[in-house]
Amino acid sequence: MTRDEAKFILSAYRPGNADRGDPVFAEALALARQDPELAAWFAREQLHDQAISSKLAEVPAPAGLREAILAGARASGGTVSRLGWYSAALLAAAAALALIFTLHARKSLPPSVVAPPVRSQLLGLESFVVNDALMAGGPHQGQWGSLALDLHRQLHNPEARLRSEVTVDFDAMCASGARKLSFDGHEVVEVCFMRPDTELWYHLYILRRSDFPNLTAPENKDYTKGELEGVGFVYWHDAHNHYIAAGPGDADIEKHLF
Amino acid sequence: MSSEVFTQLVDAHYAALYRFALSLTRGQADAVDLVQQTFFIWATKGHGLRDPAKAKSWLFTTLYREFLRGRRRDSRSSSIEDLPPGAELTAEEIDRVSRIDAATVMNLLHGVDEIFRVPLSLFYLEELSYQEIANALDVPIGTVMSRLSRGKAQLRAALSREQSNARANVVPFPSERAEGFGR
Repeated sequence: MTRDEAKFILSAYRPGNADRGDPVFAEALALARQDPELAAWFAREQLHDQAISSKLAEVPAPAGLREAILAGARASGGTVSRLGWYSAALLAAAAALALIFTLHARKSLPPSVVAPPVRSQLLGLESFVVNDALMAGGPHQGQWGSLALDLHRQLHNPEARLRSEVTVDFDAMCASGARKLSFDGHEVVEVCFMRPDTELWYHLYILRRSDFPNLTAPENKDYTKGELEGVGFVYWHDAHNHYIAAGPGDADIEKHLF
Repeated sequence: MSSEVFTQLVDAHYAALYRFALSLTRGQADAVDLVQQTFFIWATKGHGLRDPAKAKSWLFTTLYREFLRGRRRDSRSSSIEDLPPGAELTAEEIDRVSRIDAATVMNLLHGVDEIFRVPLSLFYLEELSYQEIANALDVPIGTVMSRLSRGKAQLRAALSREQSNARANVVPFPSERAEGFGR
């Protein structure tokens, strides 16, 4: 392979490590390791590509688009013809009003009726995490703040053990920038990381304990593990947060991460 | 597919799909429409997709096909695949990107010919691999790599022009114009 051929192939290598395991790039990457000029070219390309990607990731989606999509899908029921933006926005507004009424009604119920059973809530969280990890396939993309990046780097170390070493200031991480999801109406932060020894991607989900005071491992154990739809996961908590780590089902998460 | 899973699917991908749609259409209203239409198709047909890991690729492919269905072919886009790739990047060019805002980058991306812009947008959004881009556009892998290389060259040329224009619009500070003033 010549230097020009390597440049041609590496022009399709996304910034970051998303394409790291792809064999199509292996020969070109190997050549870059031996050829300082090619290595310098590749480093500049990656920096430039990363700068463009970061700028594009800053473009916000319009407020209300998510709600309009969800309301439109609910209203369509799979049979109604296409909804326009305006009508979908109206449906979203109606959905928001319905939610307010629902919340109001829930507040008036005794707490024992409103609070979901502990085990079923953990099962819901497991399902939520597994679906998110499955949909990602590899790492999630997006803008990470300094604390999320610090945690990502910490977890990249094959020696790092999650339960004994990971402590997260949830609010500080949210404020500095992190991938956020919503579960049961509360924020969830997710950080992806790869272990270089296995070259497998994992996902760590963090929830505030104050948002889910009743959530715990079954039978009050320190942690619980399981597998769902080919995704393995381990749940534990500390004084402030719940954590659930997910990864490929055939990777022994308990052994590698705990 | 349950509503929870659908909501997760929307949360995971709607923002990136919107950015991709915006890079295709140039207008927010059209981009919003494309994203809604894509999820509508998913809600009505896409739940037949068995492997959730392929959902992302399916959504981007469907959005692009809906875009193609909704517009006339751009006559410019057939004769320019032979443009030479760009010159070596300089450190100044890399710094330049960090100094301009996201909207300007998106506008400059719009200046890239569509045939290169589509794979380039998917590449920069970092959502799809070159293989997935090839599948979405229904072109060979080598064509994707060629279009990425040439698309990057066009974008760099646009960035360079943007920088030149910005310099030309700067009014020199009076003390700089009056060289030697006071001596």
